[in-house]
Amino acid sequence: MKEISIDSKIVMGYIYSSLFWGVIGLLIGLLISIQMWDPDFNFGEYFTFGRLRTVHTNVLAYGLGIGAEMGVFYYIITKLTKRTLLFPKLAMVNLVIFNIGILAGTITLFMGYTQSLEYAEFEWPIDIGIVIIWVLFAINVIGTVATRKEKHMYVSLWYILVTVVAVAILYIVNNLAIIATLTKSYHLFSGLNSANVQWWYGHNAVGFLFTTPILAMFYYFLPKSTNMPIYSHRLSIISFWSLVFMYLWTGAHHLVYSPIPDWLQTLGIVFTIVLVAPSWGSVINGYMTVQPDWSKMNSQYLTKFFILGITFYGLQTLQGPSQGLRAISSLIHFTDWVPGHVHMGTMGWVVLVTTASMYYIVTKIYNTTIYSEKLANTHFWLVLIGQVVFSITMWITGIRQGAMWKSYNDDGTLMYTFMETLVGNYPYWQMRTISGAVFIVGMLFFLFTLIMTVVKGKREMSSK
Amino acid sequence: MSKDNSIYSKIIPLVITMAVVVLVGTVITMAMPLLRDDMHPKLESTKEYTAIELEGRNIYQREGCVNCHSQMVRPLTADVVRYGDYTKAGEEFYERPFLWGSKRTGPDLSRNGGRYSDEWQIAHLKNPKQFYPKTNMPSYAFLDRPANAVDAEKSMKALKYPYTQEDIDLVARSTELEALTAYLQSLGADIPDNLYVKVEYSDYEDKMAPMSTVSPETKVAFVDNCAGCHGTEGEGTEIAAPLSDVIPDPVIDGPLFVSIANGIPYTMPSHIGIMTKRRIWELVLYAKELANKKRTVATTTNTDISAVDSGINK
Repeated sequence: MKEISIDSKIVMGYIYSSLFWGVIGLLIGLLISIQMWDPDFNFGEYFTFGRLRTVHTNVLAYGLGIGAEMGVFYYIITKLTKRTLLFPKLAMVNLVIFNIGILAGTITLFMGYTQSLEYAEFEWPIDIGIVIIWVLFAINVIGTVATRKEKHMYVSLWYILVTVVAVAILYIVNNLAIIATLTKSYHLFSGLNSANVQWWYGHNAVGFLFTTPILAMFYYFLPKSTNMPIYSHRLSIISFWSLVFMYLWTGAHHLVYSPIPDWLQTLGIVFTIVLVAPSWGSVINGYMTVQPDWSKMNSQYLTKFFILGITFYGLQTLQGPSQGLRAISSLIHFTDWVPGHVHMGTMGWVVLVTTASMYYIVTKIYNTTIYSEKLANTHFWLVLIGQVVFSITMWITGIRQGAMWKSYNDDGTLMYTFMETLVGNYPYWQMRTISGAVFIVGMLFFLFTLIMTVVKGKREMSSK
Repeated sequence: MSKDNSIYSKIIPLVITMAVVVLVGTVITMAMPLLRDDMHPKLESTKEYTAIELEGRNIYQREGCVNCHSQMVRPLTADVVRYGDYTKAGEEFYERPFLWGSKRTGPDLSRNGGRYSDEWQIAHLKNPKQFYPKTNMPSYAFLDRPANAVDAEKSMKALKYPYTQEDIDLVARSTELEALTAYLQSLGADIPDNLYVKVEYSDYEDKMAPMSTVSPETKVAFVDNCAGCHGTEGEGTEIAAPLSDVIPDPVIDGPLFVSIANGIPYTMPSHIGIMTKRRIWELVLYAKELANKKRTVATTTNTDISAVDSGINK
């Protein structure tokens, strides 16, 4: 009986861990979507919307997102460097610390220990843990790449390296705090700077946790799974440097019409618009890669995950900049449009590319084929339909409520009370719960198919 | 594509280059503003939080209120008419962290201070459905428990805010609901008199007096906006006395109109932003009708017009 390598065990460990947190995060997402239209689904102190919303975002961003990224990155790195991980034991230890950290972080969020900074809610002791986890991860990534056996560094490795560097800078700066007790701290920056630093972080956390890592996967697994070389290496280089340069200027587009100085808002908006170019550089590179043979969409089941994934990335990077424009922001800011936008990125782009990458990895590690393409396709369609309906529903109700907030009577008073604009959301929020449930069923198909593929691979190995 | 000696094959220079590229935008849009005066303005009226307000703010943070309530009124007509004057940079001086929020599932709260009474705030936190049957806000009845004076003092110390032992004692004998209410009542205090639209006494005199019918829509508006405190028939609740008690007989229409429109500080919120003057006038008529109905069955009680008077002077 053959055993998989230590590196493969590490990769699988991170994948299992991310699946676990994914299920938790999705189920909490479903619960809070119900709480939006029926407050009787708030239970006691620990299961109120105010606390659970934070648990939902953090468990999915950190538990599922970073967990999956670390696992997939370790896989990509060993392949692209043609060597084993430099510190495999360290990676294993880090997996344990990572899970302890996410568990502790999740519990503290249930307890209400929060810094109230979006995507940086963990209190300072958890932050220290996260920094340690990230440093250990960085040592392994940079060390392995530095001692690689393959001279050439493929673009995926750059995306991985910049992720490591940027996340470290972002996370440390925004979590600087004045400590009051073990469970309570206050942002080091106050007032306008608190807002500006937070959204510099908040926007770029999305950039360097949900854009560059997923692009690393996209650039590696699309050519691998289609057996077609990437269309243009030059275009990928231009996209890379311009994306990495421009992303950091854009945080203030979250603060349009806020009291921060106008020049800062305008600068953020301008760079947000310009950012369309590098984003679409990758989109075009993806499309042109498959251009020679679009029948791969049909014949190779993973192709559609990547192509639809990059399509949602393309839509996301057009919609996002449009939201930064003052006229549009004035209508949709503070409404459900924004969660609709976020979920297209996460449920569309991130999930499609990440799950497809996991399918690919598992079949390679266990040297087998997928358990059932039919089930994988079912996963694809359910996730796709769930996400599209979810996002569109949110956009409609966002515009609807935003427009109601701005409706005037003839004498200049407002036409609707806040409550009147709120209750109109309920049918849309119910639709979101339904589409979210469809998405979750799709993810359960994914979970089942992936695990059955492992089981199949293990059986084939032991019979050899 | 990449040559053997290019930067793309040397990891340390490559990583450093990446860090530099990432830091350009960071320095200009994040670090540089830290040093600029226009990022640290302070209004004269802006003061540190008191101990009980800070404890309330801690609870506001802990319960994730910021996930549903914004605290940032944009300089847009629709925002200022609904909530009050737009958020000033100078108000934010002591905000660690800022709590502007990014989603308005519930209304903005930055001008909430003084709009309602303490009793209303606590009753609403305990059971929001009592006032808004269709609300999606959960009950916070579990906050009816002692506030944490020890941690509140540690917070005051950490932030170097001035306080006395009395301030801490006040926290010690307060509930979390009371602390949270103290915080909510402090919001917007830096900008006194922050209502953006108001009616004048003259708005009523010439234009409203001839109207004498109450439309069905107004009766619905009464149920939606007034009944939570005044009762569906104006019979009163623990928040507000029966209408027959608070509306004097004979009625002074003008002050009543002004009070409903502009609100009465720490008693009743304003309504002129979200209702036409015509609707408010009809509410005056309807409230009188309900009060008089009550009066015919009960003996007239002492009238107290002081609450109504304060609306004129506002």
